[in-house]
Amino acid sequence: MFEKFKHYSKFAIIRIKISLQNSMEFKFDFIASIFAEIIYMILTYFIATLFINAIPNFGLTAIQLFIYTQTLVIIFTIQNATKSQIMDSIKDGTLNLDLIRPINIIYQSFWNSFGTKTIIIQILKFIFIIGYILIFSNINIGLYILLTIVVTIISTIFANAIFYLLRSYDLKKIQAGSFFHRITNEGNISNYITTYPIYLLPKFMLVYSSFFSLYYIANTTLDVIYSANITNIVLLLGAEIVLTIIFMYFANLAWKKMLKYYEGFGG
Amino acid sequence: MVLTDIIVDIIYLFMMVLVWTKLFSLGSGQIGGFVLNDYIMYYIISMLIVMFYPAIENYFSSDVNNGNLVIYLIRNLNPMIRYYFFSMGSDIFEIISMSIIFIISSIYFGYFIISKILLFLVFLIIAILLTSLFRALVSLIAVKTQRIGGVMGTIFLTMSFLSGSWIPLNLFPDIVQKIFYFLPFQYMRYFPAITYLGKTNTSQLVFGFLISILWIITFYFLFKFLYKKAIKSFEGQGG
Amino acid sequence: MIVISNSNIIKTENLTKVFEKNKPCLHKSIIKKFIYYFKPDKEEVVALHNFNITIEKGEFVGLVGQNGAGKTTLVKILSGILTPNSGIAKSNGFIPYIQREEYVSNIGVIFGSRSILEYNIPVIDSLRLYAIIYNLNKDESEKRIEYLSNLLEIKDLLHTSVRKLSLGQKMRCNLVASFLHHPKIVFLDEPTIGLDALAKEKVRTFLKEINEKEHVTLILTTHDMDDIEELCERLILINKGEKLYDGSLNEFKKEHVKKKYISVTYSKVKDNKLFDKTKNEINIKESSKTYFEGEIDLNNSSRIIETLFNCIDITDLDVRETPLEDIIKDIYCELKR
Repeated sequence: MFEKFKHYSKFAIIRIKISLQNSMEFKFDFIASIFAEIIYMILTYFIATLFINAIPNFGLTAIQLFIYTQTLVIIFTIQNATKSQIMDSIKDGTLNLDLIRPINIIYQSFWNSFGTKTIIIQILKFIFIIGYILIFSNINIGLYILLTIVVTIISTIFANAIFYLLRSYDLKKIQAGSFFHRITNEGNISNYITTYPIYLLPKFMLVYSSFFSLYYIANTTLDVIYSANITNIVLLLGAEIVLTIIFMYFANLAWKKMLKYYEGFGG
Repeated sequence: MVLTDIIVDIIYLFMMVLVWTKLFSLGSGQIGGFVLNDYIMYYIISMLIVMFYPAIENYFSSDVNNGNLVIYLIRNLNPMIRYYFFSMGSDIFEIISMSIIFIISSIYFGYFIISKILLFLVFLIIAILLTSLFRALVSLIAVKTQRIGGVMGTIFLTMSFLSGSWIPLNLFPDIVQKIFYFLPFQYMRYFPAITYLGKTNTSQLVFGFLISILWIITFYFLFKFLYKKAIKSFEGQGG
Repeated sequence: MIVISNSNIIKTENLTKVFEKNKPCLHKSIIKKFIYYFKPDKEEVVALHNFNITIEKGEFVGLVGQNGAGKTTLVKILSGILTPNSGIAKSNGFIPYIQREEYVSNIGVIFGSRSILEYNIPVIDSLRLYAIIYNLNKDESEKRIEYLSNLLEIKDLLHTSVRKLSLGQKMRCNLVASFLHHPKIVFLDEPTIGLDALAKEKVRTFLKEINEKEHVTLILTTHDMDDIEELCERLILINKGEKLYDGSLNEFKKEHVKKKYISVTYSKVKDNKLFDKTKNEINIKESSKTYFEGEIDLNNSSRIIETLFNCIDITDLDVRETPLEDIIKDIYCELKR
């Protein structure tokens, strides 16, 4: 059992290493991405001020709104950077090559397309936000860092579990998986997560968004910024952990079942 | 699946309506000179306009990397026109459904005025030309840098922001709005939308029309010039 | 080829695999076309039908068949990628598609048209990645990489980025990666495709050696008959999911070779009448003023050649048996009818 743990961790580490090597090949792209992020942040802050000025009784100051949206962006971008192009690898037959390795296929796909470059940029951004909070705000910094990291890790695993569960249908060439994934996740969220405070949306919309993941993230982030209601946070995180484990189990099961129908074309 | 695209669009619209309703409930009956119906209509128009914009740069850059461009050069057909119709074909259902929503909400909210529609069509065509040329221009960078990635991302980010896709430009301070009149970006999305909403007076319309035509001409000649230069430096890489 | 014992390492019984494909839309009416867009008509394609095969430990088997005959499907089922619709397959003590994760740690698969190495990093880093994937001991894997790199002559390529390698070099690096973990069985799906003569030679030498030294069971799929001639003692011919032939290569040639192939260069015709008469017995494929080549019956070969020597001044003569390639080609043509 411990042997397996060692084996799997070594695999994860070397895949991160290789991913780093790959991104270092395109230094220009890396710098351009950092530049894009900076511009993105400036624009978001600008929009936050516009909103606050135009709407009375908004409820948050510009600084609070900025921290809120940026934290959400960091967590959500990291989530998306770990979602592999499973659809493509099924179509072009790359999945076949992964199936003949002695490592769980979902675990493999996850680490094979781990977006290290994007995640590093988001981590840099996170450090910047921490500095920003220390200077401009009086939020409990230790709690903020701890919770953001924990929420990021849990919600990433959770989002991926749902993602792989839905993607298992692609193995049997059923459109349903792709359909449900798109209407719950793609596009809608990234379009407004940076512009509008998510908490303005009614609760059921948050629940629908990326299933429950965004709901938990938004609520915990808000709690940290407004008032550190520890009990609330712990309850929410606990619920998310339980759901994550359940979805991970079902994702694995779904893949075992659907692989029987896999036709493996494309090499 | 096309059905998915339509559903995604409707959900996005629904979210926008909810958010702006909530924002309006916090304050007075108007924000930045617009009422709630204006904002809803703005997003519907915005989404409709975007559907006419083809993703040229993706085709162009992948062709450069694959060496396919050589085929087009041999056939002496301007690749850009080709790309436009390639990408349009798959969107036809989306365009139809969005147009239906557009027409129904216009009638419901009371924006359906013939003169405004004609004005809107004029500026819609201008918007399409402007965006296509601008994107084509930026795509030429692909000839120099092999990967489009981060650079394009930055450029399109700024462009989409300045064209009013995140929030309508009326929320910006007056001075900034005046500067926007001279830049080409607002004519790609914001300006056609507000002509339809009836938020422009005659002098603004005339001024906007002239400036946007000027930009189209500038982009066109710039594109032709850079295209010739790019073809010379393009020695058939890839393949 | 050395057969270690009479134990079977691979055995399939009545293996059947059926694929569902979309039928092309032949509807004329718009309504039917619209319905087709959401729910296309399907048709069944039988890739393997009641396929039985037994392979012994250490064998070097050649799998031949037209494109779409079912070779790759068989390889994919035996490597655990696909699950058959009916029948059973057992390999190395496992059922590949049921106990896949355990089973694959002892097999290797090479797809000729696809590289398994990471594109932008040096070869050695990809190899170390595979050492970790197969959970190999660090020192042992380094020694193994050394050994295989020497065998395949890629030592000076180890620190080169994979994208800078030629096809032949890439294939040799792929071979190192696939034999790293001492697999008991290796499936090779068209490994020599696209390689030049020298590269092919290096690959064949390696496969022969590794088969003899480590008794790895090798199953080779190929369209290149020279591969089969040089490497395999056993030939399996597949057509439309069924076995056409399964046995020794030599037996196959004896059964099917009924002709010899001659190429004659001559300077002068001594007896025109006799020459014309002899030419009728030859199935001439190519000819010019002083040259011709073609097929002659095996039984009459010595007589015809003797006669030729009598009627023309031969300056160069080449006699060989019909290439395996032509035999296979003829069989394919027969099957089409």
